Amino acid sequence: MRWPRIALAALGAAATAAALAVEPPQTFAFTGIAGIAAFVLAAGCLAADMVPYRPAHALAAALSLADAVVLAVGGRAIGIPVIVPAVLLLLLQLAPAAAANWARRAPVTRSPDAPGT
Amino acid sequence: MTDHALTPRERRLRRGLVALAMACAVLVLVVIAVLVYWRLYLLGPSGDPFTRGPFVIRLDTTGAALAWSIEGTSKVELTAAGPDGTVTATGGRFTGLRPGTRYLWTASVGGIGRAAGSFRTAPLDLRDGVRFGVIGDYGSGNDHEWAVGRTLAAARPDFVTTAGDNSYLVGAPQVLDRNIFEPLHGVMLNAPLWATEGEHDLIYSGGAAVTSALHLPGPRGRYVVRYGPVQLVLLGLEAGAPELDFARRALAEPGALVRFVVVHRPIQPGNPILPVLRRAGVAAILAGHLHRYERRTVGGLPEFTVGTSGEGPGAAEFTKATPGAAVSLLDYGSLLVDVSSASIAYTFVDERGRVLDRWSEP
Repeated sequence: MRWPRIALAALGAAATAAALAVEPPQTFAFTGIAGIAAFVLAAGCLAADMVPYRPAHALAAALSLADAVVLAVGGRAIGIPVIVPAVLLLLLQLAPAAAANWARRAPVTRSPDAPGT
Repeated sequence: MTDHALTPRERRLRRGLVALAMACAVLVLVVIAVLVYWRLYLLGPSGDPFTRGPFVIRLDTTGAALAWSIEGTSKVELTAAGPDGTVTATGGRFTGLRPGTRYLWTASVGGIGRAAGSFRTAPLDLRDGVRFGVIGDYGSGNDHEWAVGRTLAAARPDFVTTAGDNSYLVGAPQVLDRNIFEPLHGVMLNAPLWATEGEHDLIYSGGAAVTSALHLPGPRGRYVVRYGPVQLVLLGLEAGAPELDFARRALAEPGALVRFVVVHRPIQPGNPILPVLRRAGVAAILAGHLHRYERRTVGGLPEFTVGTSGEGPGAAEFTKATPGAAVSLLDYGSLLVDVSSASIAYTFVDERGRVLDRWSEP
């Protein structure tokens, strides 16, 4: 996991905590700042995932970019609670690693004539 | 491929890309912030939908009417707030109002108040008094006319009458906004402008453009209006033979407590209309044409010439003081007339707000 993704995950966790602990509209001050910072970090994350190109990570970064906008406007743009984009931001940073883990553990089917069988 | 598999050049490229992407994101945020700030706090409100007015055109004891021009076919909602609550106008006309009461009107377009002013309905008597303004030879659209318009608006007259030459050089429709409606905007929000017409108005279509634009009750600046106990008989360009008959009929109308005659060209001694006016108890003659402010007595009647409300004196040989005038000034200004049950006071206020002449009669 690279540092921009770690920072994004930390922002997602902080925004989730703020959404749970602080009542609207005061919570929008926290989530708004988190959304703006996440927007910048997600842009860097997306660029980092292009060299080398990692499709799952790049997709998660692109979704984080959009999610950061929703988080910044407090979910009001599409009429959802602010906790949703906050949690989503956190999950999107964990998703590529989880997906890679899941892919490693999946059973591998080898052909009978493969070397070593 | 992992990070460690990248060549140093690829790593530098990636770091550069990350920095560039984050800088672009910051730039996007800055642009958005500037646009939002511009939209919310720097841009002015959307433009005035009215191309003219609204302005008060009629006032009587229980009603008022306003007129306006607007872009497109937007619906205008007109309301007036008074002591009995809110009254809504139909077709620009308020009815069922209380006499002698000030109402605050608002014109809304699309649910937003776009213009507001006030008017005072005509009183039934003179206990609370009536104040009106007199201007003349004003319609040049220059700084002096704007200044006179400001001082007159601040005086909050119940109505304003003009002694003609409402638009220079001609009363053509294309110049009326510049010469009348814009400089006198503040006045016309709160008081009707009852104008007679002079040479410069009549030279274009016989004054029809000015008559139509100001919604005057009669053509060529010749008509009668009543504001409760005050009657104005407007004669038009001059007091000739047709005007004599018109004045005789108008002044015979019962009910008015105080009568004024408004004419463009000052009435000169020996004019056969003077005995008629005197017998009818006319309080004063209000005139223009001469680009001076003058107070004099003609045929036993006070006559005020208010020809300095905008256009200016011009060459001295054409703006000579009238022999026998008690006061003769070249200063720009307007005349305020305060009519009460005890007296009538006349105050000439110049464009700088100074009182240059004051006279009253019981």
